Amino acid sequence: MASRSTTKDIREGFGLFSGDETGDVGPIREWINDKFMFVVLTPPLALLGAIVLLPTSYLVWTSTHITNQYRPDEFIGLENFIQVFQDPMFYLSLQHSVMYVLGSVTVAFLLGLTAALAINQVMSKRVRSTFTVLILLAWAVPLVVTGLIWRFMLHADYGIVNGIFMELGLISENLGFITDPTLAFISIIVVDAWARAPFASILLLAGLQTIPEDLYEAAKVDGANFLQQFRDITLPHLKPQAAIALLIMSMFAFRTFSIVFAMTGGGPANSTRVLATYIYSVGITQSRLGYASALSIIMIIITLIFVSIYVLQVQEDALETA
Amino acid sequence: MSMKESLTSSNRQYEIIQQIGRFITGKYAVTAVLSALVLYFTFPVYWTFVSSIKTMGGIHAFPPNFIPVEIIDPIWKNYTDLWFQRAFNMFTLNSLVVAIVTTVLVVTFGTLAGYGFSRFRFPYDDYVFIGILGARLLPPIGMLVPFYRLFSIGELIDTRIALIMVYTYMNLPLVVWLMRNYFVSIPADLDEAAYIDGATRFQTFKDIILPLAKPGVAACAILTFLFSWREFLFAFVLTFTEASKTIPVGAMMMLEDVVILWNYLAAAGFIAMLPALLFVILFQRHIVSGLTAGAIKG
Repeated sequence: MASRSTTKDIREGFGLFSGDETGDVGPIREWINDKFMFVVLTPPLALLGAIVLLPTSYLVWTSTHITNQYRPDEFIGLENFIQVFQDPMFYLSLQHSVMYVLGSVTVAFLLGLTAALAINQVMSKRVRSTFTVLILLAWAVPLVVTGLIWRFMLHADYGIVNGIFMELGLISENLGFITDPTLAFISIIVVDAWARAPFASILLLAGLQTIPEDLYEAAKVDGANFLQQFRDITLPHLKPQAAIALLIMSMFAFRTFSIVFAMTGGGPANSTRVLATYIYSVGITQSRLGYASALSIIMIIITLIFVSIYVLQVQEDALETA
Repeated sequence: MSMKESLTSSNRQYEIIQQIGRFITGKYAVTAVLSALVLYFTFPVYWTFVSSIKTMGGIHAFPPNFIPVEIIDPIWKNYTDLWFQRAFNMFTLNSLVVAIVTTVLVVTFGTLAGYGFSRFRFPYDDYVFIGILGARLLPPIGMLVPFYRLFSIGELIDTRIALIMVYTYMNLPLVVWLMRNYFVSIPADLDEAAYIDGATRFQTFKDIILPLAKPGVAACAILTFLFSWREFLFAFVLTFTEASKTIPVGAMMMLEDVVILWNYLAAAGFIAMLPALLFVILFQRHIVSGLTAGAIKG
């Protein structure tokens, strides 16, 4: 691992080795050599600037305009934002998004933690990586396919989930997992957690593997049982990874579109409408681009709160390892 | 309660806890938990495949058959129907072109920038870098409207170029971040040694550092390919015809029929998940390291 200071020394030392000391090179190569920093950084930064800054500024521009197919763009200041805060559908979808994040992240985290702890108990490396592969398969499925296939599996008339529950004697008649408002919301949370848990287990497993084995050995000598070891060794050591896993999962659950759109399309009766599907229906279905932009900006601001916590956390980690 | 009684009761509690602990760390319990989890996580994949080789009649049977007894003859009819009658040959081509071009673009530019950020300092570099991380973490749905309108104005709607641009926007920041961390882990002393030996900076990068960074490049390429292949929101909004629709959009289209053709949908879904399944099975280590590095170090 290169420490920060070594890297800096080398950077400052660069001046010593430029120009004619680098051997026999033509003028173009010499230029590349002199300006190597610009050669490697300018194209990517220019590209990023174009594809990040341009749409971002355009987003701000549209949010202050009435923008639709039928009228010329008209500047209206912050009216779109004022309208958002008076919009009951905004509050409903925000509320759904928050419930969705809390539900799916909790379920996914607990599933992922169980999987990580169980995999970590497996001694054989090959068996361990086999289990990792099998659990990662769920992560590999495109989210829209996850939504579609679970919609099929949860079908009220011929879905396999109803079939299994029936055979186990848990239900006496088929449930409308997608058609009943409450069940629909629970269903999208469970499906979202299914897609997200593998990621949690990968992160947590990486965290578990950094815990020194001798801590457990020492604890065993002292007579600590599994639960005590979990509470006193595993949990405290896993905290940073757990915090980051929870943050990232929350950010991604907050923006969920594909799973909800494919499973319920926001229905029945708006019971599963979340912020992302609301922005989609306002912006794309109703072509109210200005209003959708205002909604987008508010959603981005909410995300920025998560992002800044995350960046601070990551920066701290980076400084610790430097 | 006397002192003695309370002691024995806490002893008994301790014993119970110890027994529970021994049980849940025991071989059989771990196996049982893992099997249950694996079943839960893999069953939908299995079910997609099974349904993709059923007839409509088989799909609608209740209770469903776990093993496809009513599979159609010939077995791959759903797939050939998709391929020849439902334009999946075009959708597959589009998905491949978009994912491959995006991957090449993103990995090339991301590697260059990652190296630059790991070795050089310039004014406000930390802020630029954190800005790049921020761009990666913002929700893509927030950028749906500006991209949609800018592409309309630029007449790029319903082209693969539009998708490639959006996927570059979504993946380049992550790859810059991952590659920078990867290059930081390669000692800068190596660069210095190469300069002393008379190598140019380009030679140093190309011949010394880049080969060492291969695993990082591989992880970035796999992740970018998968993320581009699976993307749905922008593909759904920005494409209208066979000229640019991708496989996930093709799968979603099955819902638009009067009767949902679940057997076609399952086949389309299986095609959509196939590359990811293969990558996970073949390159599990790269994917895991890419995901964890991308999450923990940034």
